[in-house]
Formats: sequence, C-alpha cells, structure tokens
Amino acid sequence: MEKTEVINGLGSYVPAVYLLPLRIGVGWMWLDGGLRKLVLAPQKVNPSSASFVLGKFVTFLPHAGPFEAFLKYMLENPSLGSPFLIVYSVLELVVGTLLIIGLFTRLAGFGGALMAASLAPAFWLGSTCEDEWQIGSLLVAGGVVLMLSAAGRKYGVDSYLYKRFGDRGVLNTGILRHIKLW
Amino acid sequence: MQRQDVIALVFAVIVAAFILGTGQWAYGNLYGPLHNYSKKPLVEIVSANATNIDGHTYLVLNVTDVNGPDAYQTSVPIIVVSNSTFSLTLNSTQIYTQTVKIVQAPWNLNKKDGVSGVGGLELWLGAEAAYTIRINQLEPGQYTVTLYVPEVPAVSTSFTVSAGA
Repeated sequence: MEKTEVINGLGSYVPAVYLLPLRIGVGWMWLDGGLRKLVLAPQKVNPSSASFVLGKFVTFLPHAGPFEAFLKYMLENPSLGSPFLIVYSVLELVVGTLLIIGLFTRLAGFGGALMAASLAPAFWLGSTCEDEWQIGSLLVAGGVVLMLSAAGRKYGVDSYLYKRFGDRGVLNTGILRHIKLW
Repeated sequence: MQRQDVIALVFAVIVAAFILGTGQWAYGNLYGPLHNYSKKPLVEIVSANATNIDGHTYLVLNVTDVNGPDAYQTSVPIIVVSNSTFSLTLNSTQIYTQTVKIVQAPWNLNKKDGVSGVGGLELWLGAEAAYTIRINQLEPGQYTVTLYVPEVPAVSTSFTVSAGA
C-alpha cells in the first residue's frame, strides 16, 4: 500500500482515493460561495448595492453573543467590512479550488475548517431546520478530515509534490512544522 | 496506539467539542429545553415616548426584532395605544399613512426597517429603527402601547405623553 493511504486500527485500509468525493464536496461548497460573490453576482461585494452581503450580518446580531460587537463594528464601518468580505470571498475561492484539484490539500483543509468555524455567530439561524449550524459543523469536520488524511495525494496535484518533496510543513519551525502543506 | 490514532482522537475531540458546544448554544441540543430562535419573531420595544405638537401626538417607537426568520421581515400590522379610559387602534394602513419618520440604527446597512400598508411596521431580524407615528392628540399622561405580531404574543410598554410645544 502507498503512503497516501490511511491505516486504521483494524488493519484494513482507507485508500486516499475514497476521500475524493469529500474533497470535491467540501471544495465545491467553498468554491461556490466565492464564485457567487466575486464572479456570478459581484454586486454582493459592492457596498453601494442593495445585495451587499455584509448587510446580512445584521440578522446574526440578536444571539451573536461575544461576536455582536465585532459584527456591529463591521456593519457600521462598511469601508472596513467590504475588504474583509472580499478577502473572505477570495479565500473561499482559493480553498475551494485547492481542495478540488488536490493542491496543498492539508493546508486548504485546515484553512477551510477555520473559516467554517468563523461562521459560528450565524449558527443559531435555521428557520426550517438547524441550517447554519449543520452546514458549518460539517464543513469543520470535513476540513479536519481532509487536513489529517492528505486526501490530495491521490488524484490531486499533491501526489506530484509528495513524490518530489515528501512531507512539508508550512514553515520548519514550532507548531507550523506540523501544519502540512499537502 | 499508533501516532495516527492519537492525532485522530485529539482532532475528533476538538471537532466533537465544537459541534456539541455550538449545538447547545444555538439550539439547546444537549440539555435544557430545545430552542430555535429563528422560528418565530420576537419584537422588542426598545423605547417609547410621545410629544404633543401642533394638535397632534407624535409617538416615537424604537423597535427591533430579536428572533425569527432572517429571509423576510416581521410585520406589526396592529398598534394599540391605550390607558384606563381610552383606546386607539391603528391598522396597517393607518400605520403606513401616519408614520412620518423612520430613523434607522447605524448597523442597518442595507436591511432597512420599513412600513407598508399591508404589513404595518416591517422589521428585519436584528435591525432596529425609531418610527415616529402621528396620531390624534392625546391628553398628557401615562399610556400603554401594544404591538400585535401575527402568531406570537403581543408586546407592550408604557410611555408618557408630555405636553410638548
């Protein structure tokens, strides 16, 4: 068996290729979020548009707890909130693309998990079911699985990087050594 | 136990703690009564005051909606102003025609609270606004204003009509 496979305690194997659907699924969720805001409907990141997504943050406020002050600050200062939204949307595009093509999959999984966790102030919203919480939680779990399993080493660009460079941390120092790029 | 097992267990605990913790906070999924704050609206009257000017009473209602769906506005189609000897009911059309000013909270970026002849006051979740509603002049004194929202209990607060200018 190749090093690209996850070995479980029962002596059986979970080939990394089995994680391809998860990679594509989680990746597409992020890519779609970025595409909608930056490409398909760019008015969503335009502060002068009625569709400006930052405005939706107001609906998070009532039960946002410790995040309420931050959300209000962003809403009251859209000149700061707009770049924040654009950066977040670009990150969605980047993380989604990286996961789908399997490039820097572990780092992208880690980043995606953090981004999903950052949606927590909206987790209480779910008028038909526990919508936001379920979406965010699954994206966190999916990101962590992709990060741990190096899912890009099969049918992903990471396979070439791994064969050429082996394991690489973000930086060869401290905890960053343990956050792998692929 | 292999290194992978330890890593997997550590991250499983982190993920589980995150999911269970946020689930409890958002919906009470672990203990206590289940709740879902985005099912039904909860309109709150932040403040209410009134002033008599030029033969009219100007009722200023600062209201917000702290529960309910985020996709559409909550409506307040009936407002009742009353005291022990007097009662005035405003329907949605009257609320619409007699609202003379709406001051939005600074965080109502593009979700502006409004008013219509169908829904009366129309409030976005989390947004807040001060509505000035002109009504027939009230005698100075203490009154109660009650807001009726479909399918949920009415909310009310007391206010004082001052003589004004």
